[in-house]
Amino acid sequence: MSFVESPRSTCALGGALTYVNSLSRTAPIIHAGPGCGSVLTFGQNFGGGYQHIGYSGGFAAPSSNTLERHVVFGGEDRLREQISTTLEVIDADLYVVITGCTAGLIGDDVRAIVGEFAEKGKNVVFAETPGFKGNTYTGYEIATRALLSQVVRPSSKKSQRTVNLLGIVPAQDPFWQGNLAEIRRLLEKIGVKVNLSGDGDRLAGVRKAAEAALNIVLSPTTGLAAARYLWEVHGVPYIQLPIPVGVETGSFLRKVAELFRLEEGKVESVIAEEEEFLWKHLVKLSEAYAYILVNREFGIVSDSNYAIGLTRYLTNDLGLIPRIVILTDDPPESLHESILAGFSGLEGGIALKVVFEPDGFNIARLIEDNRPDILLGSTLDREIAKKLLVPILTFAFPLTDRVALSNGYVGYRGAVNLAEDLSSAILST
Amino acid sequence: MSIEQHNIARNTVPTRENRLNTITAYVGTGNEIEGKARGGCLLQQDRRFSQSAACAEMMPLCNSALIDGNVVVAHSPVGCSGMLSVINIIGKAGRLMRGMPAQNARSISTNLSEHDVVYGGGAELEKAILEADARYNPPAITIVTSCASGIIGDDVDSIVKGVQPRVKATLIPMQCEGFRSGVVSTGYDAFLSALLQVIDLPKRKRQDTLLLINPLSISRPNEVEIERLLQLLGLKAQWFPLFTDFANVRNAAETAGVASLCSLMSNYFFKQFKDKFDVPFVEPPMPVGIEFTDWWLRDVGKMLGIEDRVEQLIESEHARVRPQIDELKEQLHGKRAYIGFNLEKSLSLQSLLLELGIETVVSTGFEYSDAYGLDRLENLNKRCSGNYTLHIGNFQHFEWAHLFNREKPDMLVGGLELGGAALRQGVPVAPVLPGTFYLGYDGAVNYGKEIVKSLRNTAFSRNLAERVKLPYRKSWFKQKTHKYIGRSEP
Repeated sequence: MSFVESPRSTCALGGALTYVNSLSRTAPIIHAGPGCGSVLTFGQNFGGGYQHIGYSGGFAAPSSNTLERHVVFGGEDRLREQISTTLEVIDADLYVVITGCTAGLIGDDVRAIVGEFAEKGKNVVFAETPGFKGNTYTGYEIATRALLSQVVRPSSKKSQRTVNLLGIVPAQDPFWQGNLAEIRRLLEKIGVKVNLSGDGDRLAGVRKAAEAALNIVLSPTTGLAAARYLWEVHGVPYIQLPIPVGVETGSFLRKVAELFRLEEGKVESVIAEEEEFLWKHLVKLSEAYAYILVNREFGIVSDSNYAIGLTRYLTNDLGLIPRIVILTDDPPESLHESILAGFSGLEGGIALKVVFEPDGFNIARLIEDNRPDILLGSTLDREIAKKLLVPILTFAFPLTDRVALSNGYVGYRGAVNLAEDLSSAILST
Repeated sequence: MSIEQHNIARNTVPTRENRLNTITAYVGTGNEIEGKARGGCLLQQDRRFSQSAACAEMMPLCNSALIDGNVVVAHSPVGCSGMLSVINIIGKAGRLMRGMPAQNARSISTNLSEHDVVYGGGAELEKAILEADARYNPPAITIVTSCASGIIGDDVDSIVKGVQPRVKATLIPMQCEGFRSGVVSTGYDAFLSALLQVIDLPKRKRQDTLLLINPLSISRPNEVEIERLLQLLGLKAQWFPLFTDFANVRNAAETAGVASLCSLMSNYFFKQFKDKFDVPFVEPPMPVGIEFTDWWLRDVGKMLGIEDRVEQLIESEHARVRPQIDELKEQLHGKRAYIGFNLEKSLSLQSLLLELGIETVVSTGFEYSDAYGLDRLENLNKRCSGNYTLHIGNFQHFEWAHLFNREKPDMLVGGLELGGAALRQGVPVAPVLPGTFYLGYDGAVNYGKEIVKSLRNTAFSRNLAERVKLPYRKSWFKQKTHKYIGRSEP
């Protein structure tokens, strides 16, 4: 890894914390320095569109707050004490110890200490996520795998037509709840049940994650660690289907339907009904299209997942022209090829420039050099957009000029939201 | 392993715990803490249960990001820079109010990785500094250390000395690893103290100019009020160091004296600044409300030998403002408030609330030291019964929740830290945020009106509280608030 200007994610501990915060009645126990929990609350929750999330999240997150003496003499006794008092004070179904840089560097034996509580029948698990392990996505990967491997119960029974959804990182995707709700709504509509939805999952659901018939990884980069665990240890197959936006949602639903051998007629009628909803609203937009959107060349600055879904929708459905896509999530090199494949098959054989670039300074130069007519990015990109007099729709992390509650940008309803918000951003510039 | 082996004690400011016996854990009445402080028996205790606090590393990182033209290099994993997105919001508002263009904080994280923590992060730090210089040609670059860089033993001082000849910017290391101190203001010391190295020996003295420390929570309207008062005394204000540039930092020692809008923050810097440049300082409380603004002005007047002018000013301001305060008092009399900020701000607001006829039932301070706490407490305790609860905690939501539940106050006087927590427990918020005007005489009237507004429609907090389930066991609310403070059950 290399230095990065104005980072667009937090650290591995942040990824772990935000995942724990997405679970129902689950408390994190941060084993780290005193500031980690608050920096992440301010940076990740406020920075993700001002979200108060987590049953015991924000400033209520238990934290061992290790100081210099713990660094020198070890933090194990302090952790033992903190777990024990957390069990007294916090009324949760599950407690997840997540570690930061100090614990990782001084080598506290977290496994052994958590084991002492687990032996007594307490629902305490752990994930080792010191910040230097990587960014928010990496932390989500480590934490989901660690948590599932300690909680999921082996099962010979399979629930037919039941899936787990993996790969959407809460708050790092400010619209995670709206996005997951849309995916869930559509799956249920074609007759697929969702066990783990990624939003508000309960301990009982996590325990029976291995009963699912399929795991859907909703990202080209993230969610694979948990999916591979469930495949390798519990034999649950997975399929990687990055978030669909607009008409491509139909392909997503057809793929799932095919795997479950669902009745084709029913699935097609759902897709037809949903497309009717989408186009009813895009027809409304036709009156203004020539005025607002026609011939616009767009730039996207976001993580790989969003960038693929949005580019396909804006190009293939809305008829805009992609100018530049900047991927900010720093995925491992081994994934670059499959990510780039997500940008193939665009309407009109359009080939576009896709760049992997997490550094804020370089991102601004790329935008300046490629000069899109409209930009979709994070609040950090507002500065360069303003300088170039380019309208911007902010939606990616860090997002501090919008509040993200229930809106989303995936599926059919999300596609309408996007057309609406993008047009509004252009009109209000 | 010894501390020396960790190389974490190099060129660092003393912690507030060691220098001032600062404590971060206490619950008792105002009278009790005053008595204990006088008896010298207020000692730091640990919490056996604790929650997300704040760390000293945040202060140099966030504050130096708000010096115009500066580039911050955070020698840390990416997460430590997480808070800069919030600093960007404060920075944008603060810059616009001062007529500067909105701009993201210029910050580079060395993005310490697993490889770096094994082999050392020095090379990456060097690259980041060179790149910061090349990209922005800044007058200065501040380098902020972290838990990770401290524990792996990166010798930041030597690295910086090695790079300095190759860059135009003045390199300013600010060493304050997050684990070094449980007291946030140790981070303020690291921040302000490091700036001493870029302050020039004065070529001239500006006897009409007062240097004023502006903490990041104080926005422009408050500065304008202080400027108005100083102008009436024939004085000019030079703000230091936020939202100003390095030229303004360099000539700071030309001023006739220095005061602060938050003495908690500037305590260590003042002593060093006087030792090095012989500029006198005063440490009155934050000028909030009539009495504490009088106090602030009188201390400044005494330092500069203009006591008579100050008394005239106080008299004329009182005549103007008293009737307005009395009118507000009629509307607010008998209300009960919970105040939650750093102690300096909490106690100063408590003084204003007394003047507005509002009873403070709880005052939360993130830390306490006699150095900036005792004289304020003595003053307040004389003016009220002294039976309010003084809660000292580096955040600690479970204790706030306990006190909200026990006292059921009519309002929270608070900011970003406690605001959401209060609303979810049904307590409306009279906010003091970056942007709120509450300092000085006019600020007292303005904030009084703000409180009246905050109590007009309390539907949201009431509706929320009916639906929010707090994560605590019911048994927690039956315990004493201080149950987890100290090694054994008190």
